[in-house]
Amino acid sequence: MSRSDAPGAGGIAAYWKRIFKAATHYASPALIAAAAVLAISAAALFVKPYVGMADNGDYFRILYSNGIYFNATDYAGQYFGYFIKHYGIFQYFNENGATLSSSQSLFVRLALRLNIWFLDARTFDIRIQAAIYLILYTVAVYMLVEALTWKAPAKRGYAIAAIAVFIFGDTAYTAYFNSFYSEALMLIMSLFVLASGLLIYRRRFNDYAMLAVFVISSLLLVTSKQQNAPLGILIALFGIFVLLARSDRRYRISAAGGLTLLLAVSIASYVLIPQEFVNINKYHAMTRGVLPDSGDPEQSLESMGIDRQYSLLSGSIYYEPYTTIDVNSNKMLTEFYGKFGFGKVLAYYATHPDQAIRMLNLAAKGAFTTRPETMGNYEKSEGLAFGAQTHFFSLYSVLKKALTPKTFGFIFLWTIVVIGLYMPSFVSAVRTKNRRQAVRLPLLLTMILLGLAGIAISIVGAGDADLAKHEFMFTIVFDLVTFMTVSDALLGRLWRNVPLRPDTAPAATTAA
Amino acid sequence: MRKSFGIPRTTMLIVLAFALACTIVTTGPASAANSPASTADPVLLLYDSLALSTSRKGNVETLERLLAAYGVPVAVMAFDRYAEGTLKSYRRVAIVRNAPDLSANGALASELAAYDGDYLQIGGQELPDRVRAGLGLKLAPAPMDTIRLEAGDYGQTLSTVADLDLIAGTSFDAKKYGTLTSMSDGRRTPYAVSAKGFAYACCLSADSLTELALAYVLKDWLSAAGDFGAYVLIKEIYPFSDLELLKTLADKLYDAGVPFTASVKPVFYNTNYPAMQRYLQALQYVQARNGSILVDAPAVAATSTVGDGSLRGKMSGFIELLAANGIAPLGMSASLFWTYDKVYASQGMTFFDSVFLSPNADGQHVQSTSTSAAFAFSPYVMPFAQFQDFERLSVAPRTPLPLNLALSFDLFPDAASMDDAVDAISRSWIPFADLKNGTHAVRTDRLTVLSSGGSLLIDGKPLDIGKHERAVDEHYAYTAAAKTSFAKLFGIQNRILMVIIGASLAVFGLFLFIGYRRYRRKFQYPGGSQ
Repeated sequence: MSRSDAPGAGGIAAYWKRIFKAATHYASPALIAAAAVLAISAAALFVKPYVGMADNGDYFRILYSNGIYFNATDYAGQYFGYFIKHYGIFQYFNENGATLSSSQSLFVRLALRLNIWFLDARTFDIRIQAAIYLILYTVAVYMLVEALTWKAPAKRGYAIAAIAVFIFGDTAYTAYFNSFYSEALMLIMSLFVLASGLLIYRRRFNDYAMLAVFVISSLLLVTSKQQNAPLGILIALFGIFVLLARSDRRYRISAAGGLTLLLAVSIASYVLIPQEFVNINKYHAMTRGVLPDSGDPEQSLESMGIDRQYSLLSGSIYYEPYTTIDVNSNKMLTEFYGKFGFGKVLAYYATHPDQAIRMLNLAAKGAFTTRPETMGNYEKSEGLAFGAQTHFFSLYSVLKKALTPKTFGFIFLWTIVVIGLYMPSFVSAVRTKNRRQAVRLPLLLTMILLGLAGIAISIVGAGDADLAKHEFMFTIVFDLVTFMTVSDALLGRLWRNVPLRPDTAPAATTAA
Repeated sequence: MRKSFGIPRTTMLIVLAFALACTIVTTGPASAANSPASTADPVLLLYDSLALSTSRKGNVETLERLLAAYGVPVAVMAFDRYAEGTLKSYRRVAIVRNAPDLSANGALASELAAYDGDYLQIGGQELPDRVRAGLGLKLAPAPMDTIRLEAGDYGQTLSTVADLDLIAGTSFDAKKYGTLTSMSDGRRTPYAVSAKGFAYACCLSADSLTELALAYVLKDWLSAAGDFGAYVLIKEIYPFSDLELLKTLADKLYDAGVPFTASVKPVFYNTNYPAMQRYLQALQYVQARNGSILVDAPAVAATSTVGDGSLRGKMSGFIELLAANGIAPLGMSASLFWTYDKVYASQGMTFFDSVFLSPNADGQHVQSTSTSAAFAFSPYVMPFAQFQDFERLSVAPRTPLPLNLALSFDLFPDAASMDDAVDAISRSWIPFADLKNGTHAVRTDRLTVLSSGGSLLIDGKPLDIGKHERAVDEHYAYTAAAKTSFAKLFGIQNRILMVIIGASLAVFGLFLFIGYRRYRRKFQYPGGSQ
């Protein structure tokens, strides 16, 4: 390098520094992350070849009751294999009653209205729904990254934004937007719950607005799927720390009202689960959970007051085409389903920890798989193989699936490590009676418990039947919590309290 | 010296002696081979209305089952679905008229008028001229009334029968069946008439004596020959049923001298479990107590809209499992709709030549067809409770039954109801037939089960039904023990590690304790130790 080059190089560096400074002035890490996720997801969802999810047979439940039907001539032949983007809109009275009540219906109906108004009154394009989901998801990503990077050094902030894009822009997640699975809603609402909770903790935006986001997203999350109903109880319990974040009466009444509503809706959702779904889950809880792994299935049945002869059902599924007994028969209702509830199954696992651990390890095998292996992502017209999956922007999900140890011991250690890392700042906040600073660990714990409860509910509620799909809640939570932990580690905020808005509490108090 | 082939002579003698004994104690040969000739000619069944929400609801299905009981394939079609020219393909047509306000019109009316095959009509005033003339039939509409029907040895009062056309006159040579007596004016008219391949019956309603009355007509109309028998059929036998109660029932029927048929639910999974061994043991016992075994149709999931192709393998697997355990299934029982499904008929019923057809329960088609599959021996299944509603008219001699009739019970929920039912069967004095006395064959790719003259043969070898039960292994290993290597070595290693970890924790705890004490002395009591 010649001596004369040095000022030139310095000039370029200064030039880039100015650009970087200007960029940081106009585009925060949160904005960059949200924009990047939006661009990547839009490219996947709305540019050919369109990425979506194939139907595994569940779509009819949400579609027909909302006025949409399968209009593809070879629809049955595309189950599991191909994504279908067009559906028919009922042009006459829809006699299909709701087989399940889900908050997902709100979004399906909104998309249907928009489709009828702006696109077509006869054919529903699922990409309208994907657009709605994507807008919400972009906002959620913005809020989450903003909550974590606000008042952070610019370079580290952008690094965190890059990580956010790497994780949340993954098409294993965003492909769900072009589907009628409730997982799309669970993903978005989980982000909103954590982000709004963290923004209350950091007092970044208006507390009441964030409280509203927290309550509404929690409501939509717990009502998105029947198995999520018990999760509302967890959020409502740990949400007390969010309530305590401020001491003024108006805020506390608002928060208490929201959390009570959440608790009530959660209990109502659980109670109102149709009996048929309860029986399906009970069947699998026994035949795919308790019995196959039991050393003595007959003794296991008798411990629950069921005739030991029902051990013959071990390993079978509810949807078996040809069976010894009609799974909906009166005999089954009185002699099988009527003999036990999920409490008894839970008690059984509590008294048979070896079996419980084996089931948990089985669950752990699918806990880090974001994209179900059996469902294709492309339309049939693309000419790709049946069940072909996209590799576009999916490195994170591939690495996660390949590298994470798939044992429950790992999940347990991960939980302990995360809680341990955040505990000092929580203890410090409690000691100094800084209620707002005390919100972070309970919020994190809520998220972790949501994931673990998802696994527990899957096992207790339906054994190993469709376990991988039932563990989506844990999959999301693992990514959210790990992302938050990595972000806080990069910013040195793990066991230190985090700067809040200047006019409130003192910042950066060392806990230890 | 003559060389003997096949079954040893002594065994043969025992089998023949047993067969002879069974023939003596029971009546009515029940045989797939000897029963009314199964004609390949199907009957075209046309109806104007299914009469839903009326007292005649289900009568089309009843007629389908009655025809099936004579081994006749049936093609069913509503008037409004009739395709021009269809009649030409059939030599027999049966018409059910449930709605006086609906008429056959267009192509159907003209083709019926020109039809020259055998003709049966149930109800209604509109008949082709040729049929009316052949029977010399005069019909008179009757007001809604309570009617008493008598047919064979039985009578029943049918309350408030509407839209009834009574037979006011017939030709001299027409054969009359049963009598209908109007309870308001005492007028007596025949229930049905037949002549020259034509037949007319006034009415048919499900779950009534009209079923039996029409069977007499059908027997002649279809020219069915042979002796018919009555059978006791026990249904709803699951591996989850009270198997001790089932054994007790078998004992009681055996003691009462009543041969019976048990329709057992098939099991496709976990067939090596002790629960299955108990089930098989109970079925062996039932067979030893003069019970014949039928394989019941499996339940079909409501979501099974496309067959998975597994039915054939599952059914043959269960038949072979029974045979391997010394149980000889002689036929099948199923709801009628199974015969109208290509998948069920070809994959689930093809093993059997004897099938007991029950009224349709809730069920799911896989690939439905309008023409039924027919079987050589297919008794008409009637609940015994329904049969008890019929009033016995005379004590002796008995009029022969017009068809093979299976009087059915669901396996009883408790001993008291079982005792009542066995008592009722005994008091009925019906000479029940033993299914084993007839020839019935069940064939899979690997074996053949046969009954003939009271003996049971599996692949040609006589079955010893009195064979002792095989003990159930109550210590069955459900989960295979995991394969281990160097278990002892790792066991020792585990213990060593536990000792090391335990000791480390103790030392760590001690250091913590010492450190804490030093910390307290240094900072909390300054100068205390220095």
